[in-house]
Amino acid sequence: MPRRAIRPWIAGAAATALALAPLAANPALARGRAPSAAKPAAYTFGVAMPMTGSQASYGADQVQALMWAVQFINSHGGVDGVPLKPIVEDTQADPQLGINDVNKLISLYHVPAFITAWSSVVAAVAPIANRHHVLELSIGANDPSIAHLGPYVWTTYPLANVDITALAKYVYTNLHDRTAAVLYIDNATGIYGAQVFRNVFQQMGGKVVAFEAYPQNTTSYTAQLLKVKAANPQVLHIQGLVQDTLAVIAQARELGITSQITSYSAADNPQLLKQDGAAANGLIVTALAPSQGPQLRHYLALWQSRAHRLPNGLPYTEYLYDAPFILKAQILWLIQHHLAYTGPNLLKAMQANPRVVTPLTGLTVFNPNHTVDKPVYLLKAVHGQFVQIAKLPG
Amino acid sequence: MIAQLVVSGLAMAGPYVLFSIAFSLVLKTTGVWNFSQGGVMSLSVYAVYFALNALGWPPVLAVAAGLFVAVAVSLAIERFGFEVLRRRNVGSLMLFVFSLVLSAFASDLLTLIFGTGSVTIYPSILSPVHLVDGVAVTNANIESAVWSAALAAAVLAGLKWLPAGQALVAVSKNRELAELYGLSRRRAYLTAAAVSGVLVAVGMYLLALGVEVDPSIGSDLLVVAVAATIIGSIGNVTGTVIGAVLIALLQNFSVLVLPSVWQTAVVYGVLFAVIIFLPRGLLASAR
Repeated sequence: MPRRAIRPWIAGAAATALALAPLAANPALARGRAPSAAKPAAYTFGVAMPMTGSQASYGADQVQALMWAVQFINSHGGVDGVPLKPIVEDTQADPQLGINDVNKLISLYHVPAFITAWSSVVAAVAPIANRHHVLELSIGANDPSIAHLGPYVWTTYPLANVDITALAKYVYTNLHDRTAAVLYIDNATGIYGAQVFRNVFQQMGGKVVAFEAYPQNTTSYTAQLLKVKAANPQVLHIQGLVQDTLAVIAQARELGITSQITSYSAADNPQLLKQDGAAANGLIVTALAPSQGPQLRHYLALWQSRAHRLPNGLPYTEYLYDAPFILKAQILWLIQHHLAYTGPNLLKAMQANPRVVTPLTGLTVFNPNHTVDKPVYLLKAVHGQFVQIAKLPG
Repeated sequence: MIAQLVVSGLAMAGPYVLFSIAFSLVLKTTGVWNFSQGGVMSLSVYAVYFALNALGWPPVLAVAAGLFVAVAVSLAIERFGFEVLRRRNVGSLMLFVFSLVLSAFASDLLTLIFGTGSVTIYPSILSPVHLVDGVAVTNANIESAVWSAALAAAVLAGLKWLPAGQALVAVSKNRELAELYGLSRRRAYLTAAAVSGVLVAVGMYLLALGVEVDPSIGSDLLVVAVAATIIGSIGNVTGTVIGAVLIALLQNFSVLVLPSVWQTAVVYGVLFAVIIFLPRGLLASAR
């Protein structure tokens, strides 16, 4: 709700609440009604993300995006005059550290909500969120099991089945490819995504002629690629992390594999195009947020002016930028319904107010199972740059 | 497909051989399971990366920078680390722990300086390809195989025919007796450290021609060197070379008969079998 519309009502509520201050001890109030009209000094929330460690290049940029969004909101009046205050803890994308961080956020800072990412961390801290009735917003993790982690766990980022399903359908329907090979890293990210691609492609009527895994931290993919080459697929889908996808593409082309290569959002990385050179030409990847358009112009300019570069994992940072706006919308809903800023009340807000307009990724609609669907953007590498070739419904 | 697997396996084996000789040589000479070599490997490849990309040096000078860093750090670790600890009668377990700590420190230091992301030493990792009877051979494959073979042969020949190499072998066989004959144990240790520095620096450069590297890559690769040392038989440098080639070929060929998810498990399976049934390694009798 617009701030201007709320303000007169808040003033009235404030006067009433002041007059009824002795009733603050009322058990009904204690159950969640706003105990007094006195505004908090800030709406505090936790942010548990990798700021150091192997994933820091992504995590730090995502937190940077979030901080700019908070800065924007606070400089434009905060949430009904109250600033948002994020407390950042470093998970290093490690589940055990994530547990320590979230315990600290809840017991020391008493946050009613926190934001986190990386599937293993999201899953590890979910029981804590549920036990302490604290809202956990997962932003960027895409493991489908996130939909089943409990009442307090919600994701603002589409889960893995959304973009890979759309990609497999596009390959079959639009590119008219009928045979595919799938090469994937042997971990949770790779296995699930590879299975989704295979199953959807086969359901469409296509044939998966090779389905090969490679171990983490390997440096040669030749053996697997030779099996792919022998199967002669029309399309090769790679489900890996950015660093191995880079090497797989280079080695595939060196071995003379000329198939169309596809991958998912992890490969949406300008560095990959630079380092793979001509080998990456024609590569099709998915993105779950737009990489162009008027709404992004200001955001990208912000990165260029303050960091002198584009962010690592642009789409992920867009979702982190949008996160404080989702939180703001739910806090405004609480204010409108005279509810205190607590975890259980935020849960009510998420259920009652599932449609939130966010500045970068557009309308966010939460499904009853706490997930979201978003459009899937397909990007194609053309002469060292990704160009959007399709926007598919999520 | 078989020919391609052989070519790729041998190219992959090149750096493995150099890392394995480096690890085995130091173990054979000093008796230390020196895991700090993982850190040295990372430091050397980042020195090349820095020289090429930040300083704009030509490749020859950049490789020289990588060699210098690897040799200097290896010597410093031996002289100011292991030597000091030995003087204090520290046991082999503590030397091993010390080497682990050094490796982790080097990795963290690189993370602080260069960040956690992966880098490639050259702007592109694509290498020109030649088709020989339908077998794709890249320039990187050729460089890797030729340089590794040449360097490995030089080290093995040096151990046999050069006075410094012979002294090193003598010290490794019986340190006290070698000293009675006037051979310096300390010099032998330093020689082993310097040679291992050269080997890992060249190995890392050859490897980095085709893949991205990150600060922890050395520690990851050192596992292969340790496995090759055990498979080939501890203390037998020639056996280590065979162990390294075996691992590379095994990794490549296993996918022909097994699902590719077993690729890593196969290597550890062989290692497990060697430890159980041939605890002194495949070439124990050749020692």
